[in-house]
This record gives sequence, structure tokens and C-alpha cells, in this order.
Amino acid sequence: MAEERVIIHVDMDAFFAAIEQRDNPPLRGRPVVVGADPQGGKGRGVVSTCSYEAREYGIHSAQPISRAYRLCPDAVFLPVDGEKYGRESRRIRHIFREFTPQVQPISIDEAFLDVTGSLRLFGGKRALARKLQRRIEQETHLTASLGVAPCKLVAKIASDLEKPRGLVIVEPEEIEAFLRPLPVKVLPGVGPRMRQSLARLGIRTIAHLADYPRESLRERFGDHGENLWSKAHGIDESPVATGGEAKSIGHEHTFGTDTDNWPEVRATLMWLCEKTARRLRKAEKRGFTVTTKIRFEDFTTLTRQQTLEFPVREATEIYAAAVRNLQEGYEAGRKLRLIGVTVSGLIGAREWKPKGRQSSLFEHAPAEASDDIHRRIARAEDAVKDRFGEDALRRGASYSPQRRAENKREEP
Amino acid sequence: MRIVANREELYRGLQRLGGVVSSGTQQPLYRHVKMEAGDEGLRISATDLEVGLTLKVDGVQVEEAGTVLLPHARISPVLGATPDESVTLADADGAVVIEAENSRFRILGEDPASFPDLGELPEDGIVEVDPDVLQYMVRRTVFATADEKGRYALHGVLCVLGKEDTFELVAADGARLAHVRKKASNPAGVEGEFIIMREGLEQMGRLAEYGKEPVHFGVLENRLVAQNDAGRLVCQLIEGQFPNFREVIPTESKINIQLGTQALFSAVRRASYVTTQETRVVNFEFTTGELQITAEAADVGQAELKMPVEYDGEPASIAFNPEYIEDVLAIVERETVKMRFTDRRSPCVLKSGLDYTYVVSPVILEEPET
Repeated sequence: MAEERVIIHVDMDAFFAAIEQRDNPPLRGRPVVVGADPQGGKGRGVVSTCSYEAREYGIHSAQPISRAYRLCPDAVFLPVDGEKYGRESRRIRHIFREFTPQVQPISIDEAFLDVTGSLRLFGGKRALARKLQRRIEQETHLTASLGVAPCKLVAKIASDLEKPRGLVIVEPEEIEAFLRPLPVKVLPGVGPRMRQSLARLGIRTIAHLADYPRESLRERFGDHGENLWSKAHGIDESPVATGGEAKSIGHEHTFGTDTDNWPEVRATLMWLCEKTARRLRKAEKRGFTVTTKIRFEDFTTLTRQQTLEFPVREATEIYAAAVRNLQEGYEAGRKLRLIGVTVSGLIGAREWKPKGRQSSLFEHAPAEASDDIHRRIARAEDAVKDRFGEDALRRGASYSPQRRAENKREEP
Repeated sequence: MRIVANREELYRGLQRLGGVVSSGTQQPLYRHVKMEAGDEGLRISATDLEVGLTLKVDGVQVEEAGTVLLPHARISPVLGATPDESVTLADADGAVVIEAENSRFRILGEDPASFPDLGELPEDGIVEVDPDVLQYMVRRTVFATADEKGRYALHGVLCVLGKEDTFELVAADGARLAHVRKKASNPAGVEGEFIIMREGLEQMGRLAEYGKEPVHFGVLENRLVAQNDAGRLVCQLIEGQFPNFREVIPTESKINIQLGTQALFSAVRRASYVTTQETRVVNFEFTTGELQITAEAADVGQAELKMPVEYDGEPASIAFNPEYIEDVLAIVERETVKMRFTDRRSPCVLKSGLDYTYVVSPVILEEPET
């Protein structure tokens, strides 16, 4: 058997709100909501983070800002100061590296640490975790919750259980007992839809899921079903990936008013693809997987993705996949609130040595003698945008009068 | 119900239903076999909701008519492993007792009334097709259906009934298309198109194989029903838009070559040994009197094969996913195939006889970025 790993998941407590409260003492003890502008209850974005005081009113992250405003109009609503939070995030990552070089940041306020190799130095996992928690607090005056477990999956679930300032340690032999009573929604990959599908099979807790025949899950949900079963048994061998580079590149847009105007949706999607393509080119990356995020007017959100045979980089290539995803996920008669595009499965553009691309019988766009043309257009586009700014040039296909009228509001 | 059955015949019938029985655990009903014993002997049925199949079983003496519903996964292996020539099946309190000389099994069943009605052959608009012709057509098309997610209509095979008894099947995934045209007796002059699920068409081909007589079929609402002396098949049709297949078959090509089926198959197969999942490409280069097939993968190596051909035009080349070429060469029986294409970027046509056309879209090789 492989050596038992010790993984810590560090999750900062109410990160954005806590930074604001730290820097602005009158805010301490008050409900603080960081996110979109509530516009007196008419705002359209969402809550990014809120303080624990705000949570007592029922406010939580990813909630529509208008709802948060109704729940507590007296809360302090602040815009997202990405730059400031990024600075804090980097400070905290420096602290992590005092404990181990194996750090995988997963977002601005979360990271996995593999501390297997540092345990002796710090006198065991509990001592190490306590010390790490104190170091963060002393250095930044912010608090963190930690989950400690033999794998990332369990560590992440554990960190969430005793927030704020929590420390939950799960020993290898305790994993099953720890997971079984929890609801299935704590597992990554179980969103509201999956939760409903599972509930229909009578699966509500991880125990139900773990005891369900693996084959049946596979039949019903494919690989995803089998993965869930493994997760329910606490099986997760994924390593703490230290690369630290972006795993995906993407953009999303909230429409000014919910829309089912297909030309507007298409134009917006193309615009998001252009922005994504430009960032891919800047990062010298290509990606195999294109994911489209769709949020309907009632806030139900779904994603559709496809992995392609060749890694994409140009706007038109991303768009072709993104629009197929959209068509697959779109439900007629429902208005859209938000759409987003992400390219993942990234590889360095130079690592990709094309040996040819299967052309399509029915869709001729990529098969025409156009690869070079797209490449040349992209080069010209970059040259213009580098010099005159991001709005200097755009495809006709991404022009939307509606979006122009809204003056380009975007979610952070 | 009480029957005395030839064990081998009954077991064979159950095995044939195996392809239709759902293997899932969530819908126990669809893992069951309905056995109906009556005046006409024994009929066994299974369905996975999308495809339903009823087969006649020969060699059965019906001593008492009746119907039972049994789990396929239990009854089939029990009969398969019984050494005796004949077995007796009789129902007893919701279970069925299977008796042979030295064995007695009691298998619990379900209420047969819960098994769905699979439907009958419609009365009008029936088309009749020769069993060999149907098998020929199915074999030449089903392999080309799309199996991954994407365009749902391409999971199925398009069936076109036209004037003067024409009967066409078309299957395609995004990169290739198989089209076969034959005749089927169509006295009602039914014209139209519908898409049959791949699994349904496969079962229809098997039904033709099990029986001796022509297969009769017709469409009722959104289902196809096919019937012959061996049994009856019911299959859901796929609703959706099949792409316009006539548009993608090039009418003319600059380059026309006749090739030996076996020699070409062998050369492509051998060249494919050096390809990898990432680089599934073989390159065809035609020069006067010769076809050179090459393949290369950076981390494996290269292959280079030559075969003589009757060609005296300008040098020409085109590249393919070798699987798409092997698939079709593996099923055509004629000694030669005709290949025609115009350039490296346009679809290539392979023809075997007058009634079979296969179109494959090439792999377009591009230069790495500088």
C-alpha cells in the first residue's frame, strides 16, 4: 500500500467580507455583503461573499443580490475589490509554502496542501494544522477553516463542517463513518439536478449512495455515476496538483434583462468566445474541452460540455462547440439570465503537434481551406487590440445592440 | 401454464431475446421474459421499452395454456446449463417450476399483466422485403451510425421508401455516410422517411436471419413493426432531423480509381498499426501505377506500404482515419471497390456495386504552428 497521505483543505472564512471588515472597523459586527450592486433591490448580479452576520438573515453566496437586499436592506453592500482580495490571497499562499511546497490553489480563498512530508517537522497533523491556522490569523487577521484527511475529497468536505475557524481531522479508518451520514449534496459533482435524480432512486445520504449497486449507477449516469460511487466510499486518489497555472479560461455574462432573443444570445456567446480565445492566445494555450454554462430566469443553472478531438483556440472553433452545448441544454420557452463559456483541458499551444483533423461531412466550416485564414484573422485581431484596446475590434457576429445599450455589465 | 419444451430450442430463443432484455437494475420489468403458451405454441417476448421482440419457439408441446413473466437472468442460465434434451415448465403460485430428469428449479416470477403490450403489425401500408436483402442492407449501414452523444438522429438509420419499390437505408456519423438502395415490394405505394434506432434495425436484421420467409414491416404512429415466420419486432422511431444525405454525396470527382478490396484492406490495416489514438491517420498517395499508403506517429514510428493500381493522372493524395476505411472494406464482398475524390479536403466516395455508396470525409493535415 502507498504511504498514507495527509491533505489539508484550507478554506478562508467569508473571505471578501472578512477583508472588508478588517480594513474598515465600523463594519465589524455588521452584516456585510460583497457582490453586485443591489440598486435598491433591482440589481441583477449575485452575492460573492457575505459576512457571518449577514448569513443570519439568510443571505448566502451565489444568491441573487436583489434577494439579499430584500432579506436585509440595512446590510452594507460593497463591490468586489478583486485586486485587494488577490493581494491577500497571495500573502496566504506564501504562508502555505512555509508548511509544504505542495500547494494547489483552487480559488482565491481555497487551497489544498499535501503535508505528508512535513508532518515530522511540525509534530504531527493536528499540531501542523493548528500552527497553520494561527499563522494565517496572525499574519492577515483573517480566519480560516481547515479539513485534514487522507484525500482531497474528504479534506474539502471536512473543512466546511465547523466553519468559521474550524478544524476537522478525519483519520483514514474514520472516512466511511464520517461520510455516511452526510447528505449527497456535499459531494463535488452533485448539483441540484443530480440531487433530484438521486433522490428519485431513494438516495439522499452518502450511505445510501455507497450502498447502491455500483453497476446500476454506472448504467444510469455513466462514468459520472461510477465516480460518485467511488467518492461515496471516500476513494479519491487525485494528487495535490502544484502547477499553479490556470486550469481553465472562460467568461460569462448576465443579460440586462432575461432574454430568449436568439440573435442576442448567439451574439453574446460569440463575444464571450472572442474574449476567451484572446486570453487563450495570450496564455499560449489550447484546450480540449468547451463548457457552456446556462442560467435560466428562475436561476436553475446547468452546464453542458464536450471534449473535442483537437484542442481549440480560435473564437469560431470555441463558438461552434459552445453553441452546440447551448442547443443541447436550452429548454424552449425559458428565458436566459446568464451564459458563460469555459475552455479547459489546457495544453501549451506549442505542445500540440497536429497530425490532422477529421473533417466533417455535414458542417463544412472547419473543412474549408480556412484554418490559415482564422489564424491570420486572430493575429490581426491581437495586433489591433494590443494597440487600441479590447473594444477596438469585433466580429459582426458578436455585435448585440442590447448589450451595447446595457453598457457592458458583467458579473465578476 | 404447463409445457414440455425442447431445451435447446427454448434456450436459443432466450439467448436471442438477450439483446433486447434491459440489463439495468432500475426497471425489473424490462429484465423479464414473457412466456405465452397457447394454441400456436410458445411465444417469448422481451422489451427494453425502446425495442420489443417476440419470438416463436419450436419444439414445444403445450399441455396447458397460460402466461408467465420470469427474470431473464435466472431462467436463461438455468436452461443453458440443464443437460437434458427436454424440460417441463409449469406455473405454481406466481412461480414457475422447471423440471428435468435430475433437476427441479422453482423460479419466482412477476405478474404477466404488468408486461407492456408490444403492438401488432399495422393493417395497411405494409412493405415486404426479402430476408437476405434486408440482412445485406443492415450489415452495410449500421456500423456507420454515430454512437457518441451529439446529433441524436444519427444514432439511428434513415429508412427511405420511394417510388417504384425503392427501399434505401442511410447511416452516418459526422465524418462518414453509408447508403444502400434496394427494392422492397410496396404494393400500397408508401412513400416517406423515418429513422429507426440502430438497435432496432440490428434486431430487424436478426429477425430476417432467424426466419425463412420475407419480412413484412409497417409504421404505426411512432413505431416500426416488423414480422416474419420467426416472430415480431417493435421499435421506437427516432424523432429528429436526419441531415440531407443526398447533398453530401459528391456527384463528380476528378480522380477515379479501382482498387482490390483485400489488398487495400490489408495495407490500411497494417499501416494503422503505427497510428495512435491521437494520430489516427493514414495517408494515400497516388502516382502513376502506384498507391503508397503511409502512417506515422511521433512516439511509435512509420509505416510505408505500396500497391500497384491503374492510375495515370497527376499525383494526388488524401488522408483518412484508417478505421473508417477498414470498417467498410471489411463488409463489402466484391473483389474490387471504386474510389473517387477530388482533393485532400473534400469527401471521398467508395462504391461497391451499383447499390452501395460509402462517403468518408478526409482527415485534413495541417502544418504545426510556427
